[in-house]
Amino acid sequence: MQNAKKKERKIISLVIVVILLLLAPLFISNYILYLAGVIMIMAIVAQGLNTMIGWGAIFSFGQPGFMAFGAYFGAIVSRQFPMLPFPIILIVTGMASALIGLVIGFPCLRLRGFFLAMATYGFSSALFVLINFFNNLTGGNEGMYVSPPTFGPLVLGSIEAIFIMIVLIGVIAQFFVSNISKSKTGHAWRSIRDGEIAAASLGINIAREKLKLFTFGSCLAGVGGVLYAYLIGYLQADFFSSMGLSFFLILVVGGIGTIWGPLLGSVMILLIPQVFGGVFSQSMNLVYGAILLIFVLVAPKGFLGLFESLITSVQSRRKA
Amino acid sequence: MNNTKDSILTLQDISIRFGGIKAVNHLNLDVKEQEIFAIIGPNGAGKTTAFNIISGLYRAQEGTVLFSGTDITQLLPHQIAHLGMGRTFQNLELFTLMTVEDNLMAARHMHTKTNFWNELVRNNKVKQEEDRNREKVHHILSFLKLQDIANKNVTDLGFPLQKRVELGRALALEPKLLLLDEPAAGLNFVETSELSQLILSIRKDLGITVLLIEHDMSMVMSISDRIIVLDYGKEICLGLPEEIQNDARVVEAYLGKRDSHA
Amino acid sequence: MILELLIDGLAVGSIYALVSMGLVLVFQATGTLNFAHGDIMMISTFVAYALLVQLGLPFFVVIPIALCFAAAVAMLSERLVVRRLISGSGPAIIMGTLGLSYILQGIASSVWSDDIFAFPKIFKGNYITIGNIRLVPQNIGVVVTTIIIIVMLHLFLTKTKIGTGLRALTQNRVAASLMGVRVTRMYALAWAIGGILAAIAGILLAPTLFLSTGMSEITFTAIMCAIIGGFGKIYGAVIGGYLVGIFSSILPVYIPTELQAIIPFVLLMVVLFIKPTGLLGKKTIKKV
Repeated sequence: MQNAKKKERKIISLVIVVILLLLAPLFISNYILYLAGVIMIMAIVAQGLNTMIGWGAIFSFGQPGFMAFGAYFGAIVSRQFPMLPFPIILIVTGMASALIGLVIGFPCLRLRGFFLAMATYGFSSALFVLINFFNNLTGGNEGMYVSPPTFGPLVLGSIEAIFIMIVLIGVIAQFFVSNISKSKTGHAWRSIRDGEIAAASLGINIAREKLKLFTFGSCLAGVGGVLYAYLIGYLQADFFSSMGLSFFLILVVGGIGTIWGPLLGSVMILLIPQVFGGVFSQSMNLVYGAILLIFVLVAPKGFLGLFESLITSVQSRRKA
Repeated sequence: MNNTKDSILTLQDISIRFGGIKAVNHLNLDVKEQEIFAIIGPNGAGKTTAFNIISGLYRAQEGTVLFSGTDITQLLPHQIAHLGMGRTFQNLELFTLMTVEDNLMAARHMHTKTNFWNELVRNNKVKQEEDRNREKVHHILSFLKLQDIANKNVTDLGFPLQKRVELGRALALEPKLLLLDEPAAGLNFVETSELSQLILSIRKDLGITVLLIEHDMSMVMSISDRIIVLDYGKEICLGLPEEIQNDARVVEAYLGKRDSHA
Repeated sequence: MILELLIDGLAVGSIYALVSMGLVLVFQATGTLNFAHGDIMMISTFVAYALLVQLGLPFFVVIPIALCFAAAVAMLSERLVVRRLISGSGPAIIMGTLGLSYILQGIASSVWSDDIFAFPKIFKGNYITIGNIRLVPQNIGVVVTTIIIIVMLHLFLTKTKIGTGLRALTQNRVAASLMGVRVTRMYALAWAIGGILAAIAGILLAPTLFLSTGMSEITFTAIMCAIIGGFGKIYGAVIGGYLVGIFSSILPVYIPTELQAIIPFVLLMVVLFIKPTGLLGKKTIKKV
């Protein structure tokens, strides 16, 4: 059958790409590895936001907050329990972030659209203030050093090792997101987005599913956060508070609601300073703003949307 | 009227007020299993409000709603759906960003026996459940003669087809009781008689009780077992089609008192 | 002491009130939450700065120019960006104004850099002492000016023909257009007024808090004030603004410095969870 073959080809090409990525540290400079690491981490966190907005129409301004939470939680746990292998730390951080998402989501999700967004913004900002307040624990604005991930006797101190860890986690995250998208839960989330009243009449527990979605998205953000802590090796509260709008930028460029949108958007957005680096460094904001505006006015569905419409217009011309 | 069949839906003294107006006023209703029961009345009589109370979208301020013996007055819409009640909406509430098939698949939510962890890894159980439900959906699509447009976006369809899709979605829930809000609105004569046949076979072949709001009198009179007439949120008349047709109060409700026309 | 803090709070609150009012007016009239509102304030204040300090022009010349500039930027934004996106999806407009925000910030930091600048005081003098209380003329000037402006706005909206048309627009866009209100002109007017209010706020704020590109962060605080007061009403925004201002001034006495920044957020949370429609807002039931 045609569909099965297409699927096979897709999986094979994905596997090839992943293998290439895993081998990359052998050929590529540390600086590019570092950049690629940041891109993938931002993609993971943006994916969390993507699922919330794209599947549930939940606009959350809270992702930077959850990311910061994950980063600090992971770093502090590593420091208090240096013997713990990093997979445990990642899982525990993911669960803690999910729990925080649950706690914050519970009151916030009772609110509609815009008020929900502002409530998540409020919580997120409050979280940053708290991070600074407990600066004996977190180092506040002076920052804290993050000890590298360990696995028994093995210490993954090199950037190559951390890069590989990021690739693997990224692949797993993408796998999970893709699976959920096709499942009844993903479907339920999209139903809520398209018509809450109808969804409820079909037996979907709106409150519970929204909470699940929010928890899922914040878990992704937290995992992205702890990976970021490992990658940079150093944490400061204002790393995250300035990220606020970057995730929206990434989603607009990459395409909201698509599985690959966040990665694509992340690549585009984070490569731009590299390309324009010298000339426009003063006014990166200007470039970002212009890009955001152009996309919103011309290609609201982002690059993937453009790509899609290109394909459909080619197809329709073929049929005609 | 002695009926040996059980009641599937009972409204006892239901009232609801919006602002200063009592939209539904001490309404009593009793629908028997596998009946086709119609609610009619002039616009603004409180018919859709009654539906919204029954399906849980509004909470009645007074009275009780019993569904198959269970008190559902305080329950949320999704909980009532789980008990086996499906509905369509007056102004269509289809999922506009989805295909016909996906709209129906959404209704299979509560019949899909997988949990989040299964879905995260997409194991065989997930795939099996999906195939099983997809087959059920296709079955219903065939029943409604919609199988050819299964993959079309619902927004690309004409209004009568959209209505049928919404009906299919409600059926995909496998309900015991189906609430249809003005299913014939916007349909022409031929489409309406097809719909009538469809409703009759839903009752006969699927054993589903049908409660419908309708303005199309010929359809109502031809397929209903019993009819209740509402006006100003209150019952005006309740009985068999022949009884309703000839009742002076019903005529008055629709056309107004003879003396009030100056 | 408390009285002095109170007056400080009123001054800060006045600024918030002005900014929030403009924000809510624009939202009411055009259905858009302008994330670039604070940026319009910031860049207009910079223009005022340039005229005042770099060109040495007197206040009474500079202020009208700065206000016109603000109105112009606002109207341009509305015309070029918002009007195109207004019929599109919610997210599109949000992204659009966010993009504008970035652009304005970028322009400001290119022209003036991200440094902090001292802005000349409008209301001169360090202290006036009345009895036991020391009052800062700038603060009093801010409060008085704000009250005058609120009154002027109120009169404009209720007593003039144009103002009434604007009010009609905020309550029901379709009906207003059917009654002959020129909707597109009103959009421009609403945005212009919003911009002017923001600019006034900026000029009043800059002497006390220094001028820098970071000033535009006030947008989010203004949104919170508007929510606290009840997002639908312009006067709600005023109340929200003053509440946040007063609390931010008085509470720090009782709270450690690092936690002070949390005050507006706590207020926001309290309001959102007790009465999401805000102090003046009304509940609406959705009908199916």
